[in-house]
Amino acid sequence: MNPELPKPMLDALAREASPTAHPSPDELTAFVERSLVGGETQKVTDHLARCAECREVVFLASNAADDWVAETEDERLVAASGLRFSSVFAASAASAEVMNAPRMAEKPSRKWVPRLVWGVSAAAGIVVVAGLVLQQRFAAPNAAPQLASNEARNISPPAQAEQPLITRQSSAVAVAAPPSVGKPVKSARSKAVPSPSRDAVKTAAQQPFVEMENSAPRAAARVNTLSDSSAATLGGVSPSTAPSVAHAGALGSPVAGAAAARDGATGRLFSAPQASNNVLNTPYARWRITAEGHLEQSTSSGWTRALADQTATFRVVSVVGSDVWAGGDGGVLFHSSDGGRTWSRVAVSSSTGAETAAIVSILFDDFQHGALITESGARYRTTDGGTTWTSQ
Amino acid sequence: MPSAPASEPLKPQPSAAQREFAACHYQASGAQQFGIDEPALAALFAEIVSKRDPAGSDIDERDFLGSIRLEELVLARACANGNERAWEVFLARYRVTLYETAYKIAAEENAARSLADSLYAELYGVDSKGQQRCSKLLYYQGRGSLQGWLRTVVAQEYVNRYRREKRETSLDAALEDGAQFEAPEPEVAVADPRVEAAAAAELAALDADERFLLVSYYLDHRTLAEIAKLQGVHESTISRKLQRVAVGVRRRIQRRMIQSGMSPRQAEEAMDNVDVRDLRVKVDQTLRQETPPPTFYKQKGEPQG
Repeated sequence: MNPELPKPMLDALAREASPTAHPSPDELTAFVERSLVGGETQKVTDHLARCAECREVVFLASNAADDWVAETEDERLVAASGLRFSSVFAASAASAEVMNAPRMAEKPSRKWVPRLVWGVSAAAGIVVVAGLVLQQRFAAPNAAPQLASNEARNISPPAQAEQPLITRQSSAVAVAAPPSVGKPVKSARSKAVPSPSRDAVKTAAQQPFVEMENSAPRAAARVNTLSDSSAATLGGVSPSTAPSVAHAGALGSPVAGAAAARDGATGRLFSAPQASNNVLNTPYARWRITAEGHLEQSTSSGWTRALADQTATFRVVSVVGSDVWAGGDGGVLFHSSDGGRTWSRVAVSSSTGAETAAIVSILFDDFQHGALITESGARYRTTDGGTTWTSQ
Repeated sequence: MPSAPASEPLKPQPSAAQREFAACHYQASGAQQFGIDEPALAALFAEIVSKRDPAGSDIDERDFLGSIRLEELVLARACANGNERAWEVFLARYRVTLYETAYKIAAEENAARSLADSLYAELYGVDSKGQQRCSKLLYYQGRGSLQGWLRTVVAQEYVNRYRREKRETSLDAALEDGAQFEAPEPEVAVADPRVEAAAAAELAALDADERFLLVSYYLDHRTLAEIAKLQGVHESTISRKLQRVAVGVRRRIQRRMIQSGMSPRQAEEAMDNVDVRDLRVKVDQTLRQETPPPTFYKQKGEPQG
């Protein structure tokens, strides 16, 4: 129980009026997301301490973002131990949510936010238990429990996964939201996931966007800082050949799920937010392109190179649910429909022949509709899940 | 709250560094598909840098530009320019957020829908005659996420709407709603002006974080969880900090009162001998902090100050 303040102190607090102008919504948002730079944080905090109206706005906005999980001290402790189990649990919750097509007018339920109120000792105990559980789970990824888990997430079993997606015809429901203002989709939580169909997954695939972005609020759509103006080239990559940043949103839509790309100027990596980063070969794994142009996937033991037998230099990777698209130099385009277990090469060609320019951007509005952009500026579109690509 | 841009202010010219930054990140920004060319992107950077708060000017401009949400900024600007493709993307990404946020804030479906619809109209930005476009998205500067910005704007609109509707409620309607109008309580005079002076001096000496903590908890009656969430720490951390600040301030005020001539016993009594009823914080006292409007919407059309 916190002490009560004497009346003179309360009165003195209430008398203080802010002498400064109200911060813009941009600044208030950046304050909530802790992305203010320099002395701005101090300035905004000082204003908030004296302005009840802005405090009201900030708390309303913060409370409305109840699906945003701040990295608490306890979570940082867990992260320091190498296990981000909260992300795993959050991913489970997210997958359960997306599997159950949310009802529209339902009151949004509060998402589970891990709060370890028992202090460091309890956190340490949970970390140990979670570590043991995860260790057992990942010891035999093809064992029955893992498959059962995958089935719950509607991942095709390996036998089906051998079939390349290219042969898949467009039976999926297009899920891009219509450009009209309708009833909002509300998040709904359900524990039961009774063998959902692929269409259900696709329909629901647009839902985790909020959660994904919020789980790593500054990961997806930001441009990395250039520490030096001369850092326009690195490793022989010129600015003109710099691959694109993740296009999960700007060129596509949230339905595109996530994408990652290499910043040619700095060599830093961009990873779009994912629902989980610890699960091997699941649609929730994280992907990245390294500075060397290798495609890598996160696993329980770190980053593992995918398509290691390919000599191509990859430029961009895009993830739509369990569909992963990776493009790179020479117009190479690879596709996996099972979260990276199996890959197939996809031909991209126009009337003038096969595309040879590097693919620098891949974006999907949904599972069926996507586009890619080459370094030369050529654009290709697909409306059948990547079976055919048409030059624009 | 932020002011609207002037009708057609003199736009700042992009510097060489801004042009270089635009060239470097043009493709990554996705501006091309929304019909924003490279010079326009550079001009957008120049505009944002020119509106940059001087408090953040100790950060290198390139670092500052690197910290903005480029893709979301481009999307917002393209929407403000009326690009249809951008609107498709925007609605696909943020429509749910907009309505869900409105619902969470208003907590009542009709009010939430009305709130979100009105905000959507402002985001779309066509005037009543459908001729001139002045989208609220023009105010988005990419400092935080577009999603977070939408939440903030919804919250602002809700607060403004609440204040507006409250002002417009007639006495009869309030009486019908069962409102009770009690006589204002007389101000409890502080027995000794030295108490007030000591309290004011010590509170003024607090840093912004500590003051924010005190007012959020004691004046706004925010819960520890709410404050902890906003600050990104655990609520036990907030509780400890609150305890430390409150006790520390109290002790320093007492010390100051003793220095000003009070006996230790008098100082103790001045701090402790408070009627429980006096500890109630009245809403009008809280609202007294507010600098008067203009708020976000009232300044529309006025040049940026």
